Amino acid sequence: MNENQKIRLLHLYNNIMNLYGEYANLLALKRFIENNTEAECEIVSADKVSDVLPLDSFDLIYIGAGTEKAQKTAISDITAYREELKNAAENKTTVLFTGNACELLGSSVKNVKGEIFPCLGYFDFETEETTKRITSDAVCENMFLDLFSEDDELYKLLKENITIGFINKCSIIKWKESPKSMFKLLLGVGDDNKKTEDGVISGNIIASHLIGPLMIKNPHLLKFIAYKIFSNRGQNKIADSLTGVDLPLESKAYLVSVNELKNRISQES
Amino acid sequence: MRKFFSILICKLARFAGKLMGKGSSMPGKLALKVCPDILGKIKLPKYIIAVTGSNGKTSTVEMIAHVMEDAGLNIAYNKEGSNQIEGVTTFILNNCTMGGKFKKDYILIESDERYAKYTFKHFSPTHYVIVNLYRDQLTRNGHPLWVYDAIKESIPDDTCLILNADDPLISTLGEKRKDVIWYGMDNISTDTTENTGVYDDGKYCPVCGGRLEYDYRHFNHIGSFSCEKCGFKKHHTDYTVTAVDFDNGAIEIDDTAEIGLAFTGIYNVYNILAAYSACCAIGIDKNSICESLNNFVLKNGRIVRFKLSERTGVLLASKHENSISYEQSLTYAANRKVPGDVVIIVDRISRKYYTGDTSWLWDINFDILNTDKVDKIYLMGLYSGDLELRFSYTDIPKEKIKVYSDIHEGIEELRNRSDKEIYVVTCFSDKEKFLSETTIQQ
Repeated sequence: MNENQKIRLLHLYNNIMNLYGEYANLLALKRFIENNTEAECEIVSADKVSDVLPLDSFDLIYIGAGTEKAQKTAISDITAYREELKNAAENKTTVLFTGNACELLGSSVKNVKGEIFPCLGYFDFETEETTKRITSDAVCENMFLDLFSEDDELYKLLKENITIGFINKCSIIKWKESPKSMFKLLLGVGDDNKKTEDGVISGNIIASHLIGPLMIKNPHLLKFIAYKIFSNRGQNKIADSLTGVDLPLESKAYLVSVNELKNRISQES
Repeated sequence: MRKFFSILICKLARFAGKLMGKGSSMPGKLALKVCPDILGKIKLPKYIIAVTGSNGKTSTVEMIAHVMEDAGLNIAYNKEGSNQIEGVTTFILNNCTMGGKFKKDYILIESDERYAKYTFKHFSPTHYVIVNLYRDQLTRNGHPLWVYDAIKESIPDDTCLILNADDPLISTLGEKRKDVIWYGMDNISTDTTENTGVYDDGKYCPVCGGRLEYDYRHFNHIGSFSCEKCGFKKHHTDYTVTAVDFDNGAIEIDDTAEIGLAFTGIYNVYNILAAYSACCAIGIDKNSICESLNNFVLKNGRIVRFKLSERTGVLLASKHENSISYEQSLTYAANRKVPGDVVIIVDRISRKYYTGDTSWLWDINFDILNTDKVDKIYLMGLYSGDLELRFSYTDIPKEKIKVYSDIHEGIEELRNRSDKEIYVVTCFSDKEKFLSETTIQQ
């Protein structure tokens, strides 16, 4: 990738891991980048990794949520490219997995029949599926903001804006290490199905169990991912400029939901 | 003794609940506490017809009940719509003697697709109609495959299944079973060969995972499918809609039976066909079924005609969190002969539970409304900002869209804007907020 090349966003397994409108994350990002920078941006969709190698040609690799069955199909494909994906993330590619795609980053997923599916193993956690569906609105503090304390604007943005979303899963994640979590749950449940923490961030790898069009619902996350993309390209000036962009439509919708969900928290406490 | 007390408590609680205007689940809940297997202890009639699936349960049950009543059959059905085990228990115990004998000759039950497995653990329906399986209320249902597993678990071995052959996932439930009645629709003029939705849940074979091909799609994944890899395909149908004339509002079943449509949406056709198939299965004369269903107007409030000052309109109750239900209502509004304004209201997402999740808006193809037949589009309610944002990703010209977070304010604007027809698409949770400011027409 060089700074003059167009921004390339990969929606991997968009055919099966796109259960809750996740495709809109890519649309939001493309619109945001094209409206606010000089860069051109393209979305590439792929059913399998072999169709889109080399992975480090992408600025972002995204996988959303799928059924438990679809997730196993994704696991069987992606695990053959463990090194390629890791190298891309260690280079300049932001890797974002949401919903049950985040489980791909751990050591394994065990289904309700007891079958174990080895995963990418980038982090030391195991996932166990259950027969119980866990669904809940989610309100989160951005625990990862201190990683960006050197950038005042971004830090302020993440500090002042809580993240909202939805949890829809049947699994429990058991960590064997203490990761840098993405979120602290104020409403909803985290990786261990208690009101604790969700997701992980390490370098360019970002994951959360929140489902759906997170970047549509959370303008600050949209700006954060765009910031990551441009700072990975060494275009820090552009990255910095994006955190202050005004998004009136997105902000209007966001504020209504935040207000409603805060009321919900008050009712529950 | 426990049986007696369980029935007694249920009847008393129902009586008291009715006086206080309470719902119908609590009496059944109390009865099940006293006697958890009470449903297995009731002497039930020879015929028990159950209906489940994502869309059209209530309407199909209402149609079946109407046909059966017209045919002079002695039936009871859970018309209050409480379709989980507690509600079904209330319904059954209140229709039986203190000795535990059901008083009517036929039971007709609408059953919740996720909870049918608990109800049918205690007794088996003789006929089980499964209408379809879509992305529906995913904030509580998870996803269609999750619901599919629950439905599969609810099917007793000795039950006659009545299945929608046009739905690939539902069709797998009839695989390797003997007693199955299939219904479906032949190719009609509004069909497509490609998927026109935002997502495609009919892309892969539910049996082997191979790619499904379609001769035609009625909508989304509903149509004539086949898998080259494993040979799984649309089953031959026992009852078939062979012709549809939306212009004149009529359908033909099996080339002979003609039924007039009070409402010309394709889902209404499916509901009629499901009801027709179930009624044929229990031996009602085909001519009398057609007579009963001919121009039948549902009373469940899903389609309401209204007048707003001098303007007339139709409200189509479409479940929020159900893209197929929404798209069918949008298609209806976009295909009228007379152009009109469309109103979409999202104020409370569900009447039954709380959620603030609006991800489902991204599963709906709102570009259906990008036609000359649609004049202005009014987005109303608390989540009108989410709607506005969603519409900004469509090709619909911005100047056609008007946004009102306050529903009353939007209605006032609508009242005198023009004399065009109004089509309102919203959910049960929000429909009264609109209708309360109109005059409802019969």
